[in-house]
Amino acid sequence: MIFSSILFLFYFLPLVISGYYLLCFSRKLQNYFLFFASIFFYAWGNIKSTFILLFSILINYIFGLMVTYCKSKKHLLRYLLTLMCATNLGILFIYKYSGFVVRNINDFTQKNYIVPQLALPLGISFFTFQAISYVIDVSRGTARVQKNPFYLGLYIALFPQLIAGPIVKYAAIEKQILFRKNTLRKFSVGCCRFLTGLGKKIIIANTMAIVADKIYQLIPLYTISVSLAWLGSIAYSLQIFFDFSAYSDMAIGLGLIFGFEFDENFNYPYMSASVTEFWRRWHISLTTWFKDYVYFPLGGSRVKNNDIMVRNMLIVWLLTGIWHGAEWTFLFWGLYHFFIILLEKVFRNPHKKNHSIVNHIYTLLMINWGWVLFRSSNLSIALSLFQTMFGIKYKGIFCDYTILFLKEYGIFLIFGIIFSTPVAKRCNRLLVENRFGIAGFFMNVSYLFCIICIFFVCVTYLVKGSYNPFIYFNF
Amino acid sequence: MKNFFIKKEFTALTFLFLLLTYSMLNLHHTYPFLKSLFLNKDIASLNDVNTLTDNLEYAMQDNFFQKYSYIENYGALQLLLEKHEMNQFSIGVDRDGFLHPSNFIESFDQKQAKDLAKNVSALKKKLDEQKTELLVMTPPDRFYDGKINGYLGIPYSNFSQYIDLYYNCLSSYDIDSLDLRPAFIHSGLAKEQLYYKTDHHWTIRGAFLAFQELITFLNENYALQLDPDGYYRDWNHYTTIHYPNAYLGSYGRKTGAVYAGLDDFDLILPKFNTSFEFKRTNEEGFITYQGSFEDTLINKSILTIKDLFQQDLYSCYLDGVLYSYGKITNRLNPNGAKILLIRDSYSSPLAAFLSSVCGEVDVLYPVLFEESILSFLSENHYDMVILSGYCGTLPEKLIHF
Repeated sequence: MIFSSILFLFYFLPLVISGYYLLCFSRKLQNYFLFFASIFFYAWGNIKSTFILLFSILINYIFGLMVTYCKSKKHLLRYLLTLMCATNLGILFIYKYSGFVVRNINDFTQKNYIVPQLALPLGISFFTFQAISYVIDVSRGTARVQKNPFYLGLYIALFPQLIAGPIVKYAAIEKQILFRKNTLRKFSVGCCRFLTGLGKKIIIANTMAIVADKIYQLIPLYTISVSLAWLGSIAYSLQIFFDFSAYSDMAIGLGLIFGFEFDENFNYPYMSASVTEFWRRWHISLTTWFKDYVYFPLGGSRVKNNDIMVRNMLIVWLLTGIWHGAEWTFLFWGLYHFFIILLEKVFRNPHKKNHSIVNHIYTLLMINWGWVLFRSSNLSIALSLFQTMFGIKYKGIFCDYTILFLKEYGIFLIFGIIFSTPVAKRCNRLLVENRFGIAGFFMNVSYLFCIICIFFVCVTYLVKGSYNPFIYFNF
Repeated sequence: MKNFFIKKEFTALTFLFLLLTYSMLNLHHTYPFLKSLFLNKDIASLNDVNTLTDNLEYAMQDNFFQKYSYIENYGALQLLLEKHEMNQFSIGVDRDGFLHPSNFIESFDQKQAKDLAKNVSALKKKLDEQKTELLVMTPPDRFYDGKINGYLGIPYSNFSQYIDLYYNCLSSYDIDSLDLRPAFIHSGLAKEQLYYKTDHHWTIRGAFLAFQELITFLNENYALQLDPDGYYRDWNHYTTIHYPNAYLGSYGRKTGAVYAGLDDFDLILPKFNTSFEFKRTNEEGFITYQGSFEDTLINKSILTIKDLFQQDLYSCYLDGVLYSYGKITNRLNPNGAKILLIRDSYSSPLAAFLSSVCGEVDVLYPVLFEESILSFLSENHYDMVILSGYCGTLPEKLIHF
């Protein structure tokens, strides 16, 4: 089930909201209700994967208990944590990476081993990382063990963030399981956040997806023009941002509707002045996870010599690349970011914030080229697109298709660029500070109208059955 | 700050009200469909559960309350945005208002044409044993004259260009073919008279022109002597009932009437005396109609459907195409030629006109015909077999022999 669907919007969500608030007399019942609703939400997509989710909840529940009882025994604790990581990552490896590994072994050794054809359980990368973070936090003492398996299940499987994050730390949610407050204000902010996310997803992300997917379809078959290649890469950059950040908006909004407060996952990443800064603004929960559970335990930057720091960075970026998918392009994408961030560390002053236009353009270019690697289904397509973008192998600078896409989708491209910037956030701040005068009053009044219009437009697109891919589902 | 939250609270409450109201309306509207799916479910494995959930979700999507209003709204939005393509470039509109399928990637090549021709040669081989003639007739699309008045860059699908490739391959197997494009070009009729703007089919007038050309070709090339004096091919012997702005075709139903507009629909009926029996397959077995052309070969109930999205006026001829086999017997010409039309929906009106000059016209839709066509031909003898498939379906290889 996905958020941007008729099933979720008009069947699942109203039922869950109604059931949740009808049980307002008992927090315990509300939690159990949310847990079972989340399992139903997940099972609707693929019932077989639900067993893997439930197994993950159970096994990490047991690990959490064992780790608590063995806290004083360092060797046993280390052994348990190793076993926990091996179990969780083993499941992830089997479902996500085994096919890729076997295919490559076959290619390199010219053998013909059977390639496993296992369906990737939705959100496995997300809930696996959440589960690992729970057990590690319990072992570190930064979170208390959860003795109620349903509550742990609620943390791991809560439907707003189950499929595509944000990756929520248990410590951040621990108290909220029992002691969160449901207020009208939270509910309202949550609804508005959800609707904004829905609009971003359906109106901008999906339309950019059409442009990007059509252009990327052409690349293996034809030599395209330089402008079309650039347009495809820019469209994908906007698609992935709006797709993923919209999902996070919807997840955060839904969390607020049920009283949960999740941390922000995006902070206008395309406003960054360096790639290093970009990764402080993009998929914040993932970079935080890698920082807390991989980079810092390896020593981080505070190590004896720079070689070890570089090694630590390389490990993190390789893992970041691999986390996104089982394909060489993701690995190279991770390595690409590693090299750029390393160069930035060497050549830039980290304490000096330089938001010049040159830095912004440089950052956008670097990120855009990274997305070319990320989007391409294999290195050959990535190379082909780079060759066209840089004028090495191309069919003209402009072509009819470029004009076509700009005419048909130019307005969405413009909105995408505008809303990649914090223009809405600034408007809100100015409204709160009453800087618009009488116009501010009308802007406040028209807010309801605008949001409800966005909702109706989204429903129109959904009922029509428009293109609705969800790219982060592949992770 | 207070205003900041007040506006959000009003918005949230409005959203909640709309959500719950629409949700109840939807549930009420889709309940019969969902109930039917549940009652007819057959769960033997986990995969069946996934199938059930997929079917339920499809039913919820397909039966959304006031669905067609939303499709019209979508069309209106696209008009406002001055979009000339819809549905991820699967439909493109040209400057004359015609809706076309579109695709960035060409989908019919030499190899496919050869495979198709080889497939047809198996049919020819069978018919040669029975000394029955075979003719391939491929209705062209709006690109019959090689040009449309399109917008820059939209990759309108030109399926007519596949006809040359296909016919060249057919000729290598010595299979006769009829190219309707010259007749269409020289007919003196405008494209709007030959093709619907909102549908992929030719108009009934276009089908009649094809009928005229087909009979002329058959008489010139085979010893059938159909309509020797041209009486049944004379346009003046037919009457037209004009339904203005009545038809929303297959492309139009995807985009809405607001965006696509409506086509006029002309029902063409013979003025002369007719008496037919039309027997065709249905779910229970067979259904039979008897009487005049109008009573037998026209499903008049389709003409009375007011909902533009539910009516398909084109399929009023011969009940459309969604049945495997039908037999039209011309009671006024019992000794006339016996023709089998292996066909798609394009040939429905054509078969109706053809039945006036023949003794018997059988129509067979291979997509739904479960038996082997070659086995069928062993048991049924014809004077002529015509293989008629719209050029747009050539890449789909719908026919297997």
